[in-house]
Formats: sequence, structure tokens, C-alpha cells
Amino acid sequence: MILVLGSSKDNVFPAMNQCLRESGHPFIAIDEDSPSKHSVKREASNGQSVYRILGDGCTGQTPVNAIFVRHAVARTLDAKQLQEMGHLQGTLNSMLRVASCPVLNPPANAVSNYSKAYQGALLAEAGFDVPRSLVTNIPEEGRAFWEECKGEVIFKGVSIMTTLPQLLTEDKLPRLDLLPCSPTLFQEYVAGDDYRVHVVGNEAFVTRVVAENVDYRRTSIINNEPILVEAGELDSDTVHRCIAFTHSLGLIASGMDFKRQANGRLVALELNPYPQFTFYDRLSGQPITRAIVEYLIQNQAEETNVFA
Amino acid sequence: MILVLGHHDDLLVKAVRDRLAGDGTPVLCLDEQEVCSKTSFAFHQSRTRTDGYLVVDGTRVGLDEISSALVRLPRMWWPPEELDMQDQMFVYHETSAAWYAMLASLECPVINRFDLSWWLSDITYPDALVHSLGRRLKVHTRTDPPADVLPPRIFPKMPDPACDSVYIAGKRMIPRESTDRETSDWATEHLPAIAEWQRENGIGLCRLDFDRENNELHLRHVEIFPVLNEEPDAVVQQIGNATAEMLA
Repeated sequence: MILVLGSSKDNVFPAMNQCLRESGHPFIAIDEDSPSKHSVKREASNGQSVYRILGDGCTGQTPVNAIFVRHAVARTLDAKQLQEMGHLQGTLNSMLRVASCPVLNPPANAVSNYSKAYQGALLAEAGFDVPRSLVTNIPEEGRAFWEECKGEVIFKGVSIMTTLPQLLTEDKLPRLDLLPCSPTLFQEYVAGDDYRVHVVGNEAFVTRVVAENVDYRRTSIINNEPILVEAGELDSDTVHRCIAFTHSLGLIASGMDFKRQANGRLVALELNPYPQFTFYDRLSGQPITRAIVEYLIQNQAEETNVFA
Repeated sequence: MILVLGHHDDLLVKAVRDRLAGDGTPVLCLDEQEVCSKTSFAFHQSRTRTDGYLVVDGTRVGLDEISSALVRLPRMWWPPEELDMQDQMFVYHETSAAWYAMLASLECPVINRFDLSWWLSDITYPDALVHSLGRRLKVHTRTDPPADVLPPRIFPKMPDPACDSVYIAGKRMIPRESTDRETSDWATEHLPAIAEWQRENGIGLCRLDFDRENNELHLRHVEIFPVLNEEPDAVVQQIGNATAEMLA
């Protein structure tokens, strides 16, 4: 049996459940947006921890052989709801740390993008080309970097907090004086088409995205303007490197972002451990969700310490 | 230049600084407020190069001038209240993420080179450390089941008087009390396995808490941010000296 952990307010969770339903494979879905419905109990058995998920149809008796997780994010300031969600996710994370079945993806391994600058170093170490970057809270450094890059610079958050990259245009330069309030990540602007590589086990799906804006998410989601999303191609070395890099982080799946310049230079921007893959398969027609479901079905553990 | 990030009243920081001062080693010590609110920095990265510098009280210190670092940040800093809650949260994470990247880039010894799980206060991390070291040492582990109300973050755990506790600083084992000597000797015999675990996890300094059942050791807790306030002066000094030796 496959366990799906996620949020009914997210696009991925319903899509995963639908795809599993269509596959006919047994699964249980836990909606973390209703956290009071479930609890996780830990037992010791022959020196091993056994976890039982209880509530809302879960009896804690059915073996769980593979797990998909994309945790809900808090969309409320209601203290009780936040506490309940935090408790459920905390106990689930304890379980996922030691689950003996495949977990796509283990939350404990999915943190490198907390610091984009740190992840950039990992990408460079793995052999990817990365953009010239600067993290600073010094206004003069920001300006010097802008001049060195001949005004072709974007800025965005250093951490996992959601920010959309923006071009550092001349009219925004006075805002550099605000840098002492918070460090910021500056990167050379790499113009070109976007490529998203979704890794699923040993498979990879390359998607090409063409948009008017610096960030296609801004074009599509905020400006509601059309973007081109289609199956793309990258050389096999890059694709294999994406798969190897994903696995090196202890992940089964990922969504890796690239920019390809007109001269062919391919620059790695980041790896998302919990990609919104439904956005890409809906627009490109690539069967990414199905590949994830297939992976979970094909790679189920025979022995498990998780029951639902 | 040795970089010490920690509070001036932290007993370990104090012991390390005293020892290093005796040796005449230059030390730059910044507390958490100074790190997060008063230190300017620039950190450059490209495919082939990583470098940067800090500016402290107008003095520029290159990251390549840092020969070792002691990280003892209690993670209690929070941005000023004049920002709204959303901005406070944003600045907190931006600052943490920037410092994490800079510290991770240092090629010199860093004690401890905390995992992102620690920086993010992942409350499942302490148990994960117990299980990973338990596997290495081939000893039983015993961790408490999740409490009814989970802690909001990782808090350092003080030694349990019912446990045998041993501090590890590099290759040195320091029993907490004379009654812990047998366990300390046992740990010394297992130094290769411990050293491998230390390398894997970036942990040069920690405290191991064991309990015994039927004369078998059970690993209960691994404290990677040991607070020394309740320790006798002699133990604090030994840990400080051993830590200073790792940094020197």
C-alpha cells in the first residue's frame, strides 16, 4: 500500500491521488490540512521502531510499502490549527526519518535549498555551471557587482522564503541602501530559455519553458500571461548529472532549474526537492505524475515498519 | 585568525578564549547579536571561485584569513520588532541562510559544522544522531517517543544524572564524572568508529549520554551543543583546552 502525505489545498496532492486511483493500486491519502483527524503512534518491536498511523479510516494495521510526501504549508494564523499541523508533521517526520520503505522525498534530505548560496556551491561541486553570485548586506558591494556584470544582474532571496527574481535595473539601485536590513542574493542575469529537469528515480523529464519575463512564474502565475511549456532536450551528460546529483542529496525525485543562453551555455539555478511537477505535466503533456506513481508502485519495500 | 561565534558568557567560549589568549593566538569573537545584526559581509561564488569577507567594527577580515572557527550560536536571535511579523520572519531566514552558506564554504576546521537540520531546528535531528552513532558503535539506542506537545525547536539537553556522560572533543574523551570513566574508556576503544561518525556529521564536539541495562550500554542522547553551566570547573577547562587544541 502506498501512503500519500500532503495538502488538499495544494495542486500536487489531488493530482497524485487521482493518478493512484487510476492506477488501481491501493493507497491511503492523509490531508495534513485536517491534522486533528490523524495521529502517529510509535511502538518498539524487536529493537526496531514501528509506526502506526491512526484515525479517519487508518487502523494502523495495513503495511505501508512506499510513501509520497509533500507537506502542507501553514495557510492560517489560527494557533490551534498551526499547533495541530505542527504536531502531526513533527511526528510524521520522526517516522519518515526511520521508515524502512522508500520515501519520496525524505524531508530530512530535502533542505539544501534552504540556502540558495549553499546549494549553488553543491551544484558547482557536482560539475554544473552556476551563475556568478554575491550574497551581501553591503550596498557598495551590490553596486560594484552590478557594474562588474555590466548592469545584467538579478536579485532574489538567499533562503527558501518565496521571492521572485527581479532584474536590478538602474532605477532600483537606490534600494541597495536598504541592504544592511537584510542580506540579499545577487546573480549575473543569464538570459535564455528555461529548462526544468524532473528526476524520478533513474528517469528524467526535460521541459523547456519560454517566457517574456525574467521568471516564468511571474509571467504565468502573477501576470497571467501565456508561456510556452514543451518537452525539451538537454545533452545526456547533463541529464545523468541531474540524476546523480539528486541521488547524492538522498532524494529520489527533484525538479532542477536551468537557463540556456543563446551561445549554448547551460547554467544550473537550483534544485527543488518538492517540485510542483503537476504544473509542467499539465502544460507540456509529459507524464511526470504518472512516473512518480509508477516509481512508488515498482519500488515498494517488502518489509516495512510503517502501518496505516 | 580564529573566529569564535558565541556569547561572551558561554563557559565553553570563555574557556577556549582564555586558553587561546594564553597562546597569543588572534581571536575574533562575535556574539549572536553581533553576527546577525552588526556584521557586514560579502560572499562571492562562481563555478570556480568562492571568497568573501566580514567587516567587524570597520575591520575587514577575509574568509581565507580564518584558520578555524568555533560555532556556538544559541539561535535565539530574532530581527527587530519594528519590522512586521512577515518581514521579521523573512530577515531571520535570509540572515541564517547567508551565514550558513558562508560557514559551509570555510575549508578550515569548524567546530561544529552543524547540519542544516540543526540550523532549521528539525526536532527529529537529535534522535537521528543517536541512531546514526548507535549504528556506528553497534550499541542499542533508546530515544523517547514523541511527546504529546512537541518542542518548537531543538533545545540543548542537560546531562541526565542517571546516565553515564562522556564529552568528546576531537579525539579526546572527557568523562563527566569519575563514575563515567569506564564508559569513557569504552568510547576511547571505539574511537575509529566515533571519528568516522564525527567526519560524516561535522561534529567535533559533543556529549554522549548512555545508560546501562544488564551491563549493556544503550545510547540515549547525543548533545552537539553541550551547555557546560552545571559542570565542575575542571571539566569545563578540559573541554575548553581540548577544543582550543582543535582550533589552534
